[in-house]
Amino acid sequence: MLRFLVRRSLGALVILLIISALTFFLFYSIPRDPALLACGKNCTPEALEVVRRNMGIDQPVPAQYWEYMTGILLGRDYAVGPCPAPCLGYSFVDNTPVWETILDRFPTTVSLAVGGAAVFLTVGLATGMLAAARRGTVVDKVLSSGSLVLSSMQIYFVGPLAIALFVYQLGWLSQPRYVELTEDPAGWFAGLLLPWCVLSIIFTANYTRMARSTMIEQLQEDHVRTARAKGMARRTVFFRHAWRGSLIPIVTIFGVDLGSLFGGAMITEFTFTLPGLGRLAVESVTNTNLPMLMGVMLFAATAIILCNIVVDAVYALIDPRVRLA
Amino acid sequence: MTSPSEFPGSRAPQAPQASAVTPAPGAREAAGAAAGRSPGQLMWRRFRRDRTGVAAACVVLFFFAVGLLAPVISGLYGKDPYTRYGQVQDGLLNEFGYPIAPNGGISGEFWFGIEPILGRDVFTQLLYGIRTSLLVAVAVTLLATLTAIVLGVAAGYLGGRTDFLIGRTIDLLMAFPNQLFFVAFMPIVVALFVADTDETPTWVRAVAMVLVLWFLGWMSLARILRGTVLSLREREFVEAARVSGASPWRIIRRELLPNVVTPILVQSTLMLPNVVTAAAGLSFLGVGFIEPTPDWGRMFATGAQVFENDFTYMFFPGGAMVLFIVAFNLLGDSVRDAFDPRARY
Amino acid sequence: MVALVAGALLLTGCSEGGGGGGEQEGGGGATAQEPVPFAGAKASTGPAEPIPGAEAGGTIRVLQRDSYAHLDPAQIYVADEGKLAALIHRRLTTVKMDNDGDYSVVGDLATDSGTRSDDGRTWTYTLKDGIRFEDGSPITSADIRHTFERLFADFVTEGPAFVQSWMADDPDYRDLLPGGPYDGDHLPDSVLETPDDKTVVFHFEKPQNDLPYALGMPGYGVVSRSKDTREKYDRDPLASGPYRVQSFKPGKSMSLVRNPEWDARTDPARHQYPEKFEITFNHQYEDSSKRLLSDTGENQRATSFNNSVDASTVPQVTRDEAAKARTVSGYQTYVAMYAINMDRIKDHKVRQAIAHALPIKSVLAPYGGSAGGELAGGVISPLLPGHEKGYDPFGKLKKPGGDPAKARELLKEAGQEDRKLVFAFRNDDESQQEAVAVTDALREAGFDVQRKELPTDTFYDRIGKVDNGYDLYRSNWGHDWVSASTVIPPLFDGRKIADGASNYPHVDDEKINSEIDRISGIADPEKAATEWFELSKYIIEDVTPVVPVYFYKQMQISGSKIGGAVYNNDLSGIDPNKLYVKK
Repeated sequence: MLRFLVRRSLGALVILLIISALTFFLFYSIPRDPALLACGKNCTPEALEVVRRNMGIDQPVPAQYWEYMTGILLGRDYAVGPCPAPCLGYSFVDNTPVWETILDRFPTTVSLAVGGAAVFLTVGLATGMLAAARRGTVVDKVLSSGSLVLSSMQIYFVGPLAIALFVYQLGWLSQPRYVELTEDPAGWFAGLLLPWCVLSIIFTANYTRMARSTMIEQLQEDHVRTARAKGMARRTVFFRHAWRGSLIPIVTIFGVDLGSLFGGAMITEFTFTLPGLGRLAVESVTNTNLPMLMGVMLFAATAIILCNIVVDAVYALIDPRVRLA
Repeated sequence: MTSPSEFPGSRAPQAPQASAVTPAPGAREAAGAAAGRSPGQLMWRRFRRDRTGVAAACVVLFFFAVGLLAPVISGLYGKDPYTRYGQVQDGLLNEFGYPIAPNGGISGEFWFGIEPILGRDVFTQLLYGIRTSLLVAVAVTLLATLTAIVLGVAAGYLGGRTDFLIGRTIDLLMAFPNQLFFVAFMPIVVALFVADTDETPTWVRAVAMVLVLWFLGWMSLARILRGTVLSLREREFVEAARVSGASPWRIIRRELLPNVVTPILVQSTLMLPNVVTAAAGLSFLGVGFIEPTPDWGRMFATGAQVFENDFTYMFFPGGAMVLFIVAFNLLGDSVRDAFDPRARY
Repeated sequence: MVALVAGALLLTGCSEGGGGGGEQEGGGGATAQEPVPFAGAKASTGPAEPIPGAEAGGTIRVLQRDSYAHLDPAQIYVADEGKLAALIHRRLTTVKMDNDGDYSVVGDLATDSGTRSDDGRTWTYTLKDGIRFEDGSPITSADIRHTFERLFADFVTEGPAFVQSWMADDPDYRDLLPGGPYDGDHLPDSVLETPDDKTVVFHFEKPQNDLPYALGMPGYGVVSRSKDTREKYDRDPLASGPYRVQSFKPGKSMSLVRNPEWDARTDPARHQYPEKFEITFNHQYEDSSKRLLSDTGENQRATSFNNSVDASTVPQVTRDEAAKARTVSGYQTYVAMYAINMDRIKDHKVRQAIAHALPIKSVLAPYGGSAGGELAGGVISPLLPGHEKGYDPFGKLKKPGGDPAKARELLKEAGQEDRKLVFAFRNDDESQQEAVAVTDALREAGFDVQRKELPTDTFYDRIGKVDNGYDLYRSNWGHDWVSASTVIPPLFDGRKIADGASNYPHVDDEKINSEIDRISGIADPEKAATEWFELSKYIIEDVTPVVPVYFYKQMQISGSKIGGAVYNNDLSGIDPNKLYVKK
């Protein structure tokens, strides 16, 4: 296990290094000048030079990249303030350290991701298993096609409709917003309930479908059929034997889904005005806020890679036959 | 799309491990001999019996026909998607820019009503919007599938260093947060093509969008193909071909490719609607096509904005897109069932 | 779930059309404006008259679209930061709106709006007693001196430049005090004099009769000399107003709490009713409008300082009397216009053709139609003294969709049919819709239009370049204070053509230049106002460097538990200082 973790972590580092280099060189060689933007309306050539130097974009791109990478390890000093390691630079737009902003936005994104995942995992698995157990019946058809239709709706389409109906017209749910979990647990839950549900509709269908098909397959496996032949109750077989085997493919997809959600659910965050990483990224694109964009990119990539490693480790725990080679 | 993203439904159901995909049972010679029919005929027979599949196929074909024939249809209908009817004619839009007539201004003249603010004809906008979206989606799907075939088969058949290199590239690309990648790189790719001060031609945007979506769109299919080819490589009929002195090219073309048609068809059928929604998501986030290019995704997003004043406007683009996505997914399921009744997902 | 949603809305949405829409009232007092008077010591003494019915306490939620880029007063120029500054930063003077809606310039930190002498070359201010920063330290003339001296530092690039330029008698003012006061240098007494702790004297080369207006700009808010952290001050400034920044997370949220050191008895213009302002950012107009219109839950105690009711919500608000009662509306200072690059389009007939061709109604349509603005014939805002209602030299108000026939005719006369026209526009949603209409109409009139979409954030940087390469672009302008002297000279003075300057059409006309000099010297504001308007007629009709499009209007909505919501012309929107929470 330890060897596996070390090996995978090294691989992850290499991948992150390549991603950072690729994105950095592409971002920082675009023809738009962020310094001009930050310099403002009474800008003079001297002031522009100062801004360029403060931003660290007065040097050739490779040198900037070197400073960026060493900054992550050792920290850097800027005119607007110090930037301790892991220093991802200072935002071009509002003079805040990138790392600080990311840490500030991350809880929103995590809350959204974890809650949404809980919803789509439970709903997806439940409907999938139910559909499998009632295979071929009306229940099966309604569940399968219903989840498909729902998942074809876009978040930016369902979101405003859902707010208009459940919040504004009926008043059943409270205004979507993010408050810290530690500050106000009830408010946290109430504020995120609608975003969770809307976020999960697009994922649920996939889990329903997968749970249904793996379950059906499991029910035909030898050990399950044996158990059934030995006279075990249908329910017992279903819950004791069949579902375990169907977990593996689901764990895989789940890990990937969660990893990508940790990097920010842009459309959901946009639709519900939640201050998460996804919004941060979109804003950074519109503002040419390169350090922030780099920061979010690296952070999101790290989240994806970490989730992949965790999934592989979990594999081994569920299924002893999988060796961590 | 490869790794799942928040882009609705953008997960091509992917196999966690190569072994999860069952290769087409047996070599084609065997199957053909047993039933007296080619596998293709068998699949076709199975598909035709699947009523849902046939219906879905009809819907999908209808959409493609609409996209292809958009100029013809609008010619017959007598309107175009660019004229601002509501702004140049009085009495169509009120002072706030919304249709005066009920139901979004639907009339004998404007079948689907008129667009708020700019007052263009919704019907032709939708026709051309579907055309734009499908064009991008087909291009991305074709490119991604081709890339996946070339790299996946190469990795699987050649093995060794090639396999390692391609495998690591896939790992690398899989680690890219794809939604963020689309949003961040669209402007950059556009900037690579055109100088900052020039008008960005529509085709450049289209190409940029295709490139960006393609770049992260081929990996899961490539992985599946690699796994399939890896196991096929050791099979007797490939072995036999090799012993008989067939060139690698011939082996790939004559022996391997026909056996990976199933995953290719199934995956690319599922890929296309995902590209449509991903491109629509780009429009929503403001990095897709811009005015005046008619765009399905933008219409959809606008619909969600104006629905309280003009529900009808949301109804047509939104309804059409949901119908299209559902139909295409059902078609994908049916194709898979027809080709390979034992496949898991 | 979704089917249910769709069905429910189908019932309400499909049964009725948009309808014709009601007549919108003018809003914001469309009568001819009087110049805002300079008030004396009595009107400058605090406390401000109480708002009838106002109660202290409670928290107001504020939904804002844009995060604040700057908190350092010296860097504050844009409207939304200006409104925040009205709560946290005090300056020597300020524009006060009383309960009757009358405006005057009063002394803020100073005891009056200023004592003028030497024909307006010298202005003397005396500081009040009991004025303090949030850390309890008293505000003295040394802080005022420092406030102005640091404007010369290199890092100050965003704020207004009026007073500095007047001090240096030169638009390139930085040479007067290179690098600011940080190396121990100071402005000489011949420019800025602080004989004792309470007295500040400005000396200028030329008469500056508008100084009390200028000093009221948020950009001249006071900065503590001992707590100045230069660049870092922008993140963590010392408040002097009734509220102070408790926490600020850029792009996310800001909390303002009461500043205990603020003394109501020193402040004639501000109040301190709510306990707290909870500001959150990134609310698109659509989002804030729908929340506030719904008036559910926390939205009842919410408002927005700067967000307008968005174009898609306006029809609902105007249909619903109860919701309409929760709105305030009026003119904003901005005038939308299209600048024609005179370096490239030298033929006046072609410029006239553009003026006739532009569909000004369609330009306004994406911004909420009649709720977002009022079609304009001239460049002088209805908020300015001297404005002539109904001025319409090109007959655009009668043909707001453009007059392609007339334009064609003019082009033909000029012998420039099929003339190439490079049209630059911003790439945000509304501007794209606007550009569709403009492109269409210009093509209809016979121009060969080349569209260039530019990133929104750098749009003004691009069109501000003298050799920008574009023929036609939108350029909005708002006056800095209620005088056309902050409109005509910056926009049309031919001697001020430079990269980044605001003469976007690059007009350089003898008569305009000399008239600007002449009218600037007129001390009587009323007479000057009339003369400015006459000059604007000459500019529009005989030179046509710009085509006026519309005067910005804004409608804002608040929750039902918000009291004291009034429209303040000087702030171009709701007045944050008068808000309170209803019990």
